[in-house]
Amino acid sequence: MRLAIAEDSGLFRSSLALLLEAAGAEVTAGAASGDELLKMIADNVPDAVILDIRMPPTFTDEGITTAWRLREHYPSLGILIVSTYAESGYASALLGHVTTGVGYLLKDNVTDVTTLMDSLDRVVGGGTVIDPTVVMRLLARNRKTSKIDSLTAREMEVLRHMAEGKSNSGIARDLFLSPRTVQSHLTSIFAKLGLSETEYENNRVRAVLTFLRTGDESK
Amino acid sequence: MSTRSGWRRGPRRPIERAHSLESLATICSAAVALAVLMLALAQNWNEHPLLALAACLCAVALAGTAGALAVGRARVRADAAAQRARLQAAYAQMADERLRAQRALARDLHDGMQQQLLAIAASFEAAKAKATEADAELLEVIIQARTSILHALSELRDFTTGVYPSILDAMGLSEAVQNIAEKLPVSIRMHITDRRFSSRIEYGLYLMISEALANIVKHANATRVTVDISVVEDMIQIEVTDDGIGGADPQAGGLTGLKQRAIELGGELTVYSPPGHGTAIRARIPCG
Repeated sequence: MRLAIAEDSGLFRSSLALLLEAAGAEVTAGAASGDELLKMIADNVPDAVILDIRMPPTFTDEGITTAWRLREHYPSLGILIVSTYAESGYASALLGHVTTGVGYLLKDNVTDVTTLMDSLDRVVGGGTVIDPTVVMRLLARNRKTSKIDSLTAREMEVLRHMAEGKSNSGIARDLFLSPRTVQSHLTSIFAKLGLSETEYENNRVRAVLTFLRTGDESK
Repeated sequence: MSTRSGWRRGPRRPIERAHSLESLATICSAAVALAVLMLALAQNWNEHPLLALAACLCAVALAGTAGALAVGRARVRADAAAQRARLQAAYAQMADERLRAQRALARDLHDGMQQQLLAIAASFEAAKAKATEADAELLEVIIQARTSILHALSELRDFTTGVYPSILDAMGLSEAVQNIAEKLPVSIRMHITDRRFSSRIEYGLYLMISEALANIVKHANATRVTVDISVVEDMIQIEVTDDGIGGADPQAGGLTGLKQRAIELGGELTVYSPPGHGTAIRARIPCG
C-alpha cells in the first residue's frame, strides 16, 4: 500500500513512517501541513493519506478541511484522520462532508499496527472507520435514552461494531456470528431506533452517528 | 453589583452607608436653614436688627453647607462609578491574560508532550513488528512499555482538556458542551445557539454549564436535564433545568460560584429550586 502523511509534529511523523514501513507499506510523502501535502501528492497520488487533525495554519481542525479538499480532487483516495481528540464533534464534522473511504482514528490506536493497517485497508476499499473510543463515548451518553435502552446486550454490541464502520461480514467475523444472524440483529436495531434500513453500508454509519449524537435521525 | 436580583442579602458595604449619612446631613442642613430663615422673617426687623441679620447669615451659611454636601455627594458617586469601571476593565484584562496562559499551556501539552509520547508508542510498536519470535521476553517488555505510555497519554489528554478545551475554539460552545455531556451519567437535552462569542464569554459560559451539570450529578438525583442557550436582544439567555429533588440552597458553594461567574461576565443569575420540584438555573449575560 502506498501512503502519504501530513503531520506537523516531525517526531510523530517519522515514528509513524517507521511503523508503516515495518508493516510493509510504502510512505511516498511526508508533509507538515495540508497545503504541502496537496502539492506533494499532485504528481504521485498514493492509495491513502493519513492526516493529522491539528495542523498549521489554524491549528484547530485543519485535517478535516484538508479532507474535504482532497475528496474534491481525488474521489477514490482513502483518507484517514488521526487525532488526539476523542470528542465526537470532530468525527461528525468529517462525516458531514466526506462519507466514503474515510476514517477517524485516535492516535493512541494508530500506534497499534493491526488497527492502523486494518483501518487503512477499509478506507482504501471505500469503507468508513470510526474510532471505537469515540463510538463508546456516544453509546455511553445515550445509555439513558429509551430507544437505546430497548436494545438487547447483543444488539448493543452489534450496534457498536456497526458504528465503528464495520461491514456485516466484518461484524459476523468479530462476534463469531453468521452473517444471517448479524442481518437479523441489524433489522431489529434499525426498527428500534426508528432508522431506515435502506441506507447504504457507508451511509448507515453516518445515520447511526447522527442518531447517537442527537437522538434524532432527522437532524 | 446591586441587590436588584434579590440574592445578595448581606450587610450593606461602607460606601453605601457613607452615601446614606451624607444624604441625611444634606437634608438636615437644608431643613435647619429653612427654619432659621423663617424665624428671621418672623422677627420684627426694626426692634432687633442685629438678631435678624445674624439669623439671615446663619440661614445662608446652612444653605451653603447643604449645597456643598450635595455637590460632594455627587462627586463621590461619580468617583465610585469611575472606580468600578476601572476595576471591571482591570478584571477583564486579567481574565483575558489568564485565558491566554491556559490556552498556551494546553497547546504546549498537546503539541509537545502528547506527540512525543505518541511517537515513543509508535516506535515501540515498530520495534514489536521487527522483533522475531525468538525474542519472546523482549516482546513482552516492549508490549508493557507501550501499554504504560498509552495510560499516561489518556491521563494527559484529560488533563489537557481540563486546562483548556480546544474543541471550544475549533467548534464552539455547542460541541464543547456536548463533550461534557458525553461523560455524564444523565440524559441531557440541549439547545445551544451556533453563534460565536468572544473567547472570554465562551469559556465563561462553558465553565458555568460544566459546573451546573456537575452540581446536578452530585446533588440533584435527577434523571432528565435540559440545557438551553439562546440570544435574545443582545443578551445571552442560559437555562439549565433538572427534574431532581430541588430545595437547593442558593448560598451553597456550587451555586454562589455560578453566580460569581455570571457577575464576572457582567450578567446575573437566579436559582429556582422548590423542594421536590427540580431546579432551574437562569442567567442573562450581555453578548459582548
